[in-house]
Amino acid sequence: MRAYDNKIIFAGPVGAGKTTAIAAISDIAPVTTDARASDMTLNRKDTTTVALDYGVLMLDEATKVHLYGTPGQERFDFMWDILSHGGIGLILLLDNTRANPVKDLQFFLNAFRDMLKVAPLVIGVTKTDVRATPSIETYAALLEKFDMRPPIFEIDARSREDVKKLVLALLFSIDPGLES
Amino acid sequence: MMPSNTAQARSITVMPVGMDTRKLSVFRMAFRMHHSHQHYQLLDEAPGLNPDLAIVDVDSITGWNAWHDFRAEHPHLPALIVTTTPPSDAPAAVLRKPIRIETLFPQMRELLRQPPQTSPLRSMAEQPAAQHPAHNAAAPSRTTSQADISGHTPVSDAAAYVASVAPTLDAVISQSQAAHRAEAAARQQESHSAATSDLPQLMDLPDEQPEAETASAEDKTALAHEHDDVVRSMLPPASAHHTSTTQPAAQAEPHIISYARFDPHAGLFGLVARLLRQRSNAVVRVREVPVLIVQAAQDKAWLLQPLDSLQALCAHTSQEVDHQAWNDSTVPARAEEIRPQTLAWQLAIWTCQGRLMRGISADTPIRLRYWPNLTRLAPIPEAMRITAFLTRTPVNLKLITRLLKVPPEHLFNYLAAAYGIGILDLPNRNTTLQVMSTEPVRPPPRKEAAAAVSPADTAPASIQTAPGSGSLLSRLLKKVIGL
Repeated sequence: MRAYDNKIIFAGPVGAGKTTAIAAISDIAPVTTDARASDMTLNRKDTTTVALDYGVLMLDEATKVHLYGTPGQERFDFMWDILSHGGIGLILLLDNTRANPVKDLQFFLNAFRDMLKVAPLVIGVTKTDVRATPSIETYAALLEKFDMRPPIFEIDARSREDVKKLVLALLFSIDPGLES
Repeated sequence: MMPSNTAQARSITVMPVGMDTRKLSVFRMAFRMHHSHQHYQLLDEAPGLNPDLAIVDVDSITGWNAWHDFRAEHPHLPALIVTTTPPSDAPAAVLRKPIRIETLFPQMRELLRQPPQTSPLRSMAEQPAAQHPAHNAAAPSRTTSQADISGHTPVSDAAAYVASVAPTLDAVISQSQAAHRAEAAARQQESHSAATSDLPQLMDLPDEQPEAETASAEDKTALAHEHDDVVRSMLPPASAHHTSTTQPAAQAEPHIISYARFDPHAGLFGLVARLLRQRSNAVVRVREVPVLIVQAAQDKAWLLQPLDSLQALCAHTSQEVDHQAWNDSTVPARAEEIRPQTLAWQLAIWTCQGRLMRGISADTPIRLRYWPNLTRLAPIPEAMRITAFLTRTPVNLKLITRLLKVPPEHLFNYLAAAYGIGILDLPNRNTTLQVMSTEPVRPPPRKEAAAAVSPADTAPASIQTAPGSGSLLSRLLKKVIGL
């Protein structure tokens, strides 16, 4: 049986909304390590996460579930393994306005393949109001071809309700019979 | 129909339609690798010969137009449709992709065995296009519930379904066996503690009663939503008694609950679901009044009537609903755009109203192809939990209700909505109506449930709660729900 570290990992490319999503549900003001972007990231936003984002869901006085956001840039990928080890699950955020979000999906599935052997995946697609394609159905049909059926939702990373649904889907993916 | 080219009696010439060179090469390779007394060849390999059958791919850029054009040109040629998303009312036999060798050749043989006069394929193909929306959307096609059922029943859904679930067939069998064992255990348990147990149980019950016997059942049940609903007694006539879902479950003897049914092929919902499946563009009319524009090929739809009007129309599946081809690029100014998936999902909820779709029985294996976009669809209670379960493995209503303890009306609404957006995998066959013997109640006492029905007998190992971790996950669930 899996032993869980009490943590949920938020991953995804630069600008997908990881920092915002964590802030939407965290019980504390999220700890971020944003720095002024100095590379290609600058094309998408002024600052970017260089180490990690951190938020907390307090279950009781003694129990916390940690929310970690991985840095989006690939040069920080050495941190992904460290962060993801023992995680309850992976919430992958995709930015639909990027040049090739399907390629991003493939990249992150591969990057987190070890974690995904033992932990569930949930996908949130952001900025679909800016660019509607690929549609959720397109992503889902693509994943279905590889016999993968993860939850995949359109989300607004600023919306607590949307981010809540990602976490709920993660929990029910572990155990559909889970009771609160 | 037998092969026409008698000079090569063992060669079947197959006409491919809607395929690019890559797909053609796959079929060519499959035919060459097929070692049996029957040889197959593509039409381009046998110039001058007449094709014996056709394989029509409707997933190309031309979509169902490939089928329409083919059928217009070859009205009598037996044909097999191949697609990743088989419609429930396909105009010919369907083979679901990915195509498997073990189903492709039997299906082609079956197609060739169909007698020319009595073949359902032939008779369907020879219907006037106006009676067959999938053939030609240009002409209005009147649809009523019964006409849809009789005229559009796919001839090979069972085969297509078997092909689609073949990789998980073992899982289905295991599920069924596990369910059977669990049921036996539950009955044994019930015989010991029937007087005190209020746990939901499921029973194998007789087939649906004939229509003539239904009327009296309708009078006695509190579940009759409409006069055309099918609400039936689930007990043998000698011992039949009826109750409603509103009655308490705890009784000395397990009592029977009847569930109303609805026809998912009928009415506004049925038509819209079909248009989406066939990726057709059409104006949907009710009593000749335009109510919707569906541009499925472009993943768009427009409301021509207010939502509350559509809701009212959904409540009456006997409405005269038809559609006309719509190729106009100009949308009426008053039209409000809506996403087709959102539309179909919502129409399903309004139409279903907690009733069970026809075609699903307690034993029907059900699976979801993928998760619906639950953040942007009308909420259905327990949708998240149901989805998580149904995307794992094919399960039947018995297992769903036993393990999830989801109120049936929510489950039935969900199944209808999933069917509406085309993600529900289930065999499209006439099935017997079998229901739960007692009303599922949530939240269940999980420890008691575990004591009554051993999870090892019923639940897939993958969904059993991890000892020690359940507490954390449960508390996290409570926390997130309360955010």
